[in-house]
Amino acid sequence: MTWLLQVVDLHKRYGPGCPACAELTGPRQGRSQCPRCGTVHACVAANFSLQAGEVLGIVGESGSGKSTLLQMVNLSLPADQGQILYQPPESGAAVDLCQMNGYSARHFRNDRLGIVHQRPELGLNMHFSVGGNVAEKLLLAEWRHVGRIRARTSELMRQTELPPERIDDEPHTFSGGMLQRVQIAKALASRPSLLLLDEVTSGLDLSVQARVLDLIRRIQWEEQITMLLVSHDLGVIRQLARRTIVMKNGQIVESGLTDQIMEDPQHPYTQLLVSSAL
Amino acid sequence: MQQTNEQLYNFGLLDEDAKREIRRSLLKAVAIPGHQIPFASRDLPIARGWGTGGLQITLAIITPEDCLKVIDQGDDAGVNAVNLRRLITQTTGVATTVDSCAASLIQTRHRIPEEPLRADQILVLQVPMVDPLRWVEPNLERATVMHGEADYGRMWVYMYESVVRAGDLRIASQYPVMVNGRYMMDTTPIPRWDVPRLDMAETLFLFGAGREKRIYAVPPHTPVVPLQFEDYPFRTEYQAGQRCVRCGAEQTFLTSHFVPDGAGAGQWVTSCSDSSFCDKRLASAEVQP
Ligand SMILES: Nc1ncnc2c1ncn2[C@@H]1O[C@H](COP(=O)(O)OP(=O)(O)O)[C@@H](O)[C@H]1O
Ligand SMILES: [Mg+2]
Ligand SMILES: [Zn+2]
Ligand SMILES: [Zn+2]
Repeated sequence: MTWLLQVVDLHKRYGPGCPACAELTGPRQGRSQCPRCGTVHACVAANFSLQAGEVLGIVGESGSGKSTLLQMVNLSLPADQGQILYQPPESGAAVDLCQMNGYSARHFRNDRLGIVHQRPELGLNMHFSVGGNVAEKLLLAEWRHVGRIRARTSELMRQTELPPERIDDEPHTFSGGMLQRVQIAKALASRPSLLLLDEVTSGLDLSVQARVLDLIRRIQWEEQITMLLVSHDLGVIRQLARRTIVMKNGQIVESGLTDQIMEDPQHPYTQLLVSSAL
Repeated sequence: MQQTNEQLYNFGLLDEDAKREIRRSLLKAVAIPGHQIPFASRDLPIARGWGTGGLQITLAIITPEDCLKVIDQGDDAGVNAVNLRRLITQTTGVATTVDSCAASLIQTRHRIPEEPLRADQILVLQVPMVDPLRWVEPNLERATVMHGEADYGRMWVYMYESVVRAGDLRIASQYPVMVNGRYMMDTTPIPRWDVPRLDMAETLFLFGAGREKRIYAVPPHTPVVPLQFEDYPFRTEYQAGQRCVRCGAEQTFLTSHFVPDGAGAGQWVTSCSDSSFCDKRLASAEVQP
């Protein structure tokens, strides 16, 4: 199987660090913040690869470093150390995304990545119309024909089960579940090769959550798009992800097939997660 | 009086250090077309809204050999133009003209003269608002980062929304352009009529904003392209059949004014905004009004 993304020894900390950090932080110590210097080690030596077309889950409690990891893959947060290798589906030559300058990183992000945030206001501009928000990715890809932009935006709205006649409405007139669909429509606009989903259903009512998850599953099925799915909820992860990474206090403590993790969790923390998800 | 002023002030009012600093910023601005360069804007004995940014540029580059033209709203006789002209001549003693072709240095607000400018002329524009990104990013520091990375997606959404809301790219002035394919620049306060005349021009255009302390430039032969869509192209204010009531010109930027008939009524008429150009045409034999 060909890989799309390979994360190698990726690190991110918030703070200066001190010689005692390594000993005082991590899953065994049960914290990511060093009591000596106050530095948060949000992501320590992360290694994993992502196969083309698969959905990989990242699960862990709040503060375990999931969003930090996702933001680094989204090239919106610079890593302190490590590599994020990307192998374009159309050719073999892998590139290290961490080495890109701001300009090419933004280009890459717009072209190849799509992201959906937990809070819609992080992913959408509330001053623009829903259509304008979805169109942003097309405009960045140098679409310069309003008619064609609106046709494509309407198509994306239909695909994400949004009423296309509301293309010019403002985001604040949409419900929470609909705003997540708008974010998904925007993320898909450039036909990205990787979709990043950060707690997209947290904060939604259970029935709304189920419908958004159905939509993501359907899109994955139809487009065969590679996804990195972050959630604190193993119940969400197990519905979509074939493989899962378990994070705790900034480190990966377990990874494998989701079914296997559910059946036979190895790490005590994973056992805890599984028993509370059942 | 003239005599006394010349002794009281340094040539061009500003001290030599201030002039050198402005010239350094101008050099940078010319080297990176459309890129906003910060400069230490000085306080001058005129109100800020009257264009201290443009005035400081003019005072920093003017030489005793220059022939100066000052316009406001296309008019050499506007209050602002008269005041600025007086200040500059009193502190430099340079010759002045209303003839766009005779001037070596033109300080202006709102307009580029109708007659094509040459390579040996410099046009200085006083700018009230510098950054086109202010519509989508009020924080100046963040806007600077966006310019640095050519991060103009949000501005394009703004243009898209203008079309959707108004059915057209109806932005009267303040029209955004891409300069040399790299930097987005505001064309405030010139009308859309003048925007195409920045493109691949013979002349050096210098822009100064006193309040926002920024300088930028469009050097000769620089591509300047308005933001537009294939199905909603950029348009000037030109209207089919338009005509100046004074000189009969059909291809100029017109302004309208109300002409009272003395009996409490009157009518709106349109004439060239560039008053000296209009006068010149009137004076020439070819024109039969
Ligand atoms: N900008 C920041 N400055 C300092 N600490 C941060 C910052 N962002 C996140 N953190 C800390 O990093 C850790 C990981 O955060 P995050 O990646 O958001 O976790 P998760 O998404 O798993 O909840 C947390 O302890 C959080 O407080
Ligand atoms: Mg998070
Ligand atoms: Zn420490
Ligand atoms: Zn006229």
